[in-house]
Amino acid sequence: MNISIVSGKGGAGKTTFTILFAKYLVSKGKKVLINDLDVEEPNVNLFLNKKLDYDEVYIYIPEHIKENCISCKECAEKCLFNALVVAKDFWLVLPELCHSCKLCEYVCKYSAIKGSKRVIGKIGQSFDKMLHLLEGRLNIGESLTTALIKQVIGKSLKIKDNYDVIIMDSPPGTSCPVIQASKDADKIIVVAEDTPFGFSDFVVLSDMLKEIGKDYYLVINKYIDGEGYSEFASKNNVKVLGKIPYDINLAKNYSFGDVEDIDTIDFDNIYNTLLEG
Amino acid sequence: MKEIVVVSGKGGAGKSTITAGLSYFLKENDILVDADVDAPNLKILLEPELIREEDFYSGKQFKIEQDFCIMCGRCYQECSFEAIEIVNLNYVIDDVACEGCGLCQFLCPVNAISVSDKLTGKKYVSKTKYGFNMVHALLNPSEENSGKLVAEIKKIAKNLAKEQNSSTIIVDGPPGIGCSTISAISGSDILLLVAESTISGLHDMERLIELTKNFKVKRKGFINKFGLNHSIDEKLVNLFESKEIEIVGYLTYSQNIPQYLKKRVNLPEHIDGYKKLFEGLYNRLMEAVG
Repeated sequence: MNISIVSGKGGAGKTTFTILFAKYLVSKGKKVLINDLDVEEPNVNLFLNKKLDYDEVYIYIPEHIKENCISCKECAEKCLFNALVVAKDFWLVLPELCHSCKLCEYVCKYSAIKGSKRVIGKIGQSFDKMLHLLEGRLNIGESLTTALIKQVIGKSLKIKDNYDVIIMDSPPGTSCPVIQASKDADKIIVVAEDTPFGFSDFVVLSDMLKEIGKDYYLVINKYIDGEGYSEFASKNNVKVLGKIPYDINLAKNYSFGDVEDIDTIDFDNIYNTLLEG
Repeated sequence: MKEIVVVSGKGGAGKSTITAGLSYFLKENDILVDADVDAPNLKILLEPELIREEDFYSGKQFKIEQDFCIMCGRCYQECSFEAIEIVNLNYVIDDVACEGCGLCQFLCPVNAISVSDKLTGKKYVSKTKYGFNMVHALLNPSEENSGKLVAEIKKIAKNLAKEQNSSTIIVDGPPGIGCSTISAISGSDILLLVAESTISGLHDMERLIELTKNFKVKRKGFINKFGLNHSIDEKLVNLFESKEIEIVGYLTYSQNIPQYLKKRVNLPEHIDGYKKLFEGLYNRLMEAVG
């Protein structure tokens, strides 16, 4: 089973839920693979403290072959991302704008562009049979978040058959990288925070999931009274998987990077509901 | 005119709460920007009334015109983003996966692929309950290019600031350290780096400090949820000191704050202690930008 953990708002509790759920599953003898897809700020391993072996992640970037170039500028004119700057005897690619689409290489009639690669980040792996972690870590200053997330997902697809459950800890928000993480998931769990900020972001995320035709389960975190959520859930037929109370001890444990199973979450029920649904 | 940007790396560290608190001290001709275009929240505390809105177009949308497609499969084979699917024996572009590069259109031997500008969000100017204007936006779900939208609303804010003769723009930044954060801090005068007293907050602040060190911008530190974890507090203080980033304020961890948020209370508005705290923070930031 492939489960994507998402939230509109940052700090809603995705990582906390991911860790608790993964630990529960391992205690039940399940083999679990966690993908940390919040590649701008990957935090899962702060809670697992695993030794990770990192491999660098490359993406395609065009390279200039000067002797073939006639400075026709067609590559720069056709690039819809304005990633190429060409003048007479001058050719430059702006890596932060390049989407690695290869259009320029196809456009060039003079074989003056060839494919090359550059590093945008790295992927760490823990090589643990029961609880394996794949962590994407974007290089600081790099902007190709989605490209790195795709590669982490790609890597996880190659090894997914060795695990019973795959949990994807997504980046916050509702933009492209989040969709990327949820598109192929069997189950989506939205972790939402019980504040007006949290509810507002949850509604935006819910619309997005509706747009891509995905059902989801809801976990309300830092639960006080569930204002807005109860009504929304019954109106829209959303299954509420659980409510995690607003609890200073949980906040304290989290702050130390040490979230332990708490009695208030009925993971047996959560797991069974996911299996049935 | 000076631009202050509030950023944190980690989501949920308190950017919006702190930005809203600071905004309480803005003058009527100053401007607030909500640059978290994925999940804009300042509206909840500031009750803005819409003055004007504009469509945000970004990138291109490509479409395979089935009447002309000869099913050669060239686009399907060459797309770098695997964005072309086969649906009911037709080649169709998956708009979510498509990054809008136009390779398919370039390669199509029979010109069966059309292109249009893509409407990906809205930009808004509103008047807040305190009287100053707020520039905000909403990116359509599942879109990319939030960095460009952030740049555009910052530009609107700057033009408006010139018109209104504003002295200050405050920007609530997005989470993360990627494209939209880079866009939010570009061209600003001072960053308020909001750290959360948790191990994730510390880790994410280290990355944010690294990201921002090469920007020509002043940086000041702030510790939120202070006291939640004393050892992290100490590490945050040491981190800021070691990078020569002055700490200009602390907000102590309190279980009351979510309760206030539930009532949509902007902290300095109703609570004297918070009023003093945010006024002090506002004044220190003003002094720092000069």
